[in-house]
Amino acid sequence: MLEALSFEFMQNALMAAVLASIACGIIGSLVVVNRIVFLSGGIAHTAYGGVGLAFFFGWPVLPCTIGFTLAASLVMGAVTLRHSDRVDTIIGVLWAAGMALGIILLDITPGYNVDLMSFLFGSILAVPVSDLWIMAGLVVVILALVLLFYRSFLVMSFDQEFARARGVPVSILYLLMLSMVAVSVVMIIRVVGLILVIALLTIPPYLAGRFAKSLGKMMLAAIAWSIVFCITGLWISYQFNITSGASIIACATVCFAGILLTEQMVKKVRA
Amino acid sequence: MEPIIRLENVSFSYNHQPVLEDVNLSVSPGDFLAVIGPNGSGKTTLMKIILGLLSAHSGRVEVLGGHPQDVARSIGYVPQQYDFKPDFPITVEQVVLMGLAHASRTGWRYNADDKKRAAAALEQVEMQELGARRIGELSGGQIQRVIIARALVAGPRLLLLDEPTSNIDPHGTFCFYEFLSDLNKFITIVIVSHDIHIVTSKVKSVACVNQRLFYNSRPELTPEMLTLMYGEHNETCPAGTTLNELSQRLGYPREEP
Repeated sequence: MLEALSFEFMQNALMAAVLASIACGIIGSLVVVNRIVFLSGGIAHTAYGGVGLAFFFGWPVLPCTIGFTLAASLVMGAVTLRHSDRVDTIIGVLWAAGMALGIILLDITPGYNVDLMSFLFGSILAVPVSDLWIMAGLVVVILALVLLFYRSFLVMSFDQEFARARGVPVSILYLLMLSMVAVSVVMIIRVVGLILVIALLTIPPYLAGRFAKSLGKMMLAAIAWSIVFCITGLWISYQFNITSGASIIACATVCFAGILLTEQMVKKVRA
Repeated sequence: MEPIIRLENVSFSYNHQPVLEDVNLSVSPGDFLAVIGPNGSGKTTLMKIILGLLSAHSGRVEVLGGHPQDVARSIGYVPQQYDFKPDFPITVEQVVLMGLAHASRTGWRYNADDKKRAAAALEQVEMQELGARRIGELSGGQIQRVIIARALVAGPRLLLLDEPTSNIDPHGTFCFYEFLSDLNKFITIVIVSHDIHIVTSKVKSVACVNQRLFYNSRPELTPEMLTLMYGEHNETCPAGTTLNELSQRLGYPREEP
């Protein structure tokens, strides 16, 4: 492991993993307590439409993808706030439509294209330093927003009806939360891929939320779990020459299943 | 004295379906009012209008001498707990502190004064020892009390409870209605419920809603109220028999149809 750390690509990979863990730990905790995992999956997949759009028209990829994903997340948010009984259907439609749009646009774009695999799994071992700076900036913005509106996010997440009655601007906060999901997902997909983003948004916050006594502590514990999974996964990937993103997810999933099974067994033994 | 709540000719409809029609209601300070109505009767809509969450399509609404949206912070609101999240990572104290939330408060921490008020509110519902517990570790009845402490922490002049009986702890020694009755010495209380038995607790007045609203300044259901809620039934129909028995028990012999 120590010799691996002497490589610059490995140092960058670790930095990327830590930054992605901080962003996903904070945003993921909000996603999990608000029960919008499906919605976040929808936002993340729709992003591929933005990638296709950027390549087809030759626009700069990052701003175009962020704009497209933000728009999609706000549409999903508006639908959620208005017709709560049709939400899952409409998210499913946008999810599929966004991916299909991306693939069609990339198909008819002449020349060399990004392939679907790199969108899905990313390449954490090939992160340039410039991307690390972008991610660091993102983490600072997320931290600032969540610290500033922490109490309002907390009330909104716990009890929307009560929050509205207290005059807390629930709709604005909800859309702000989805925008943060959209922007972070796009930024982090570039680095670690769509599948790893969804795994980091859900598994560490779930494990962190079981015993945490506040949303803030849940976020901190989720970041810690996430960093542990990333470092272990990267080490396994280096040792056994396995795709890094998949190996990080495998690590998290095994840990997730192990903890749940142990808990069940302890419950049975005690009963 | 200025009424706490004044509704004049209030109407509301969803997709052209009238939900409330020409509703008039005046709640005086110190009242303990039960608003009763079957499911879908418009009682939740009525409550949301009082809270400023919905705007009446016509008529006048005045709460605590102002527009509902401007006074929302002076109303203690106890929402129905159907979508309560027991796995939410939060302590009892933090839930109570939410009662101090409003739009212009930003930041991470609560100050010592806020915490003192939360402790006092928890003491009011006899839950002061459980402040550090996670909310999911509590029983249904205890959670109900925490939610009431959350409504009380900001020192409201009006307490509004939506279907509160649904979560009462059957083994609890804490008598919920006794508690509300004590609280009523300082605060005007409105309880919204589908359960007509609430009339037999310590309420002072009753309103029945089913699109229209009938008010009785005494805690009694009149025959018109029963008809408003359940319609006209023949003696031979099971609902008719029940209604007959009910009105006899309440002291209003029902006229033969």
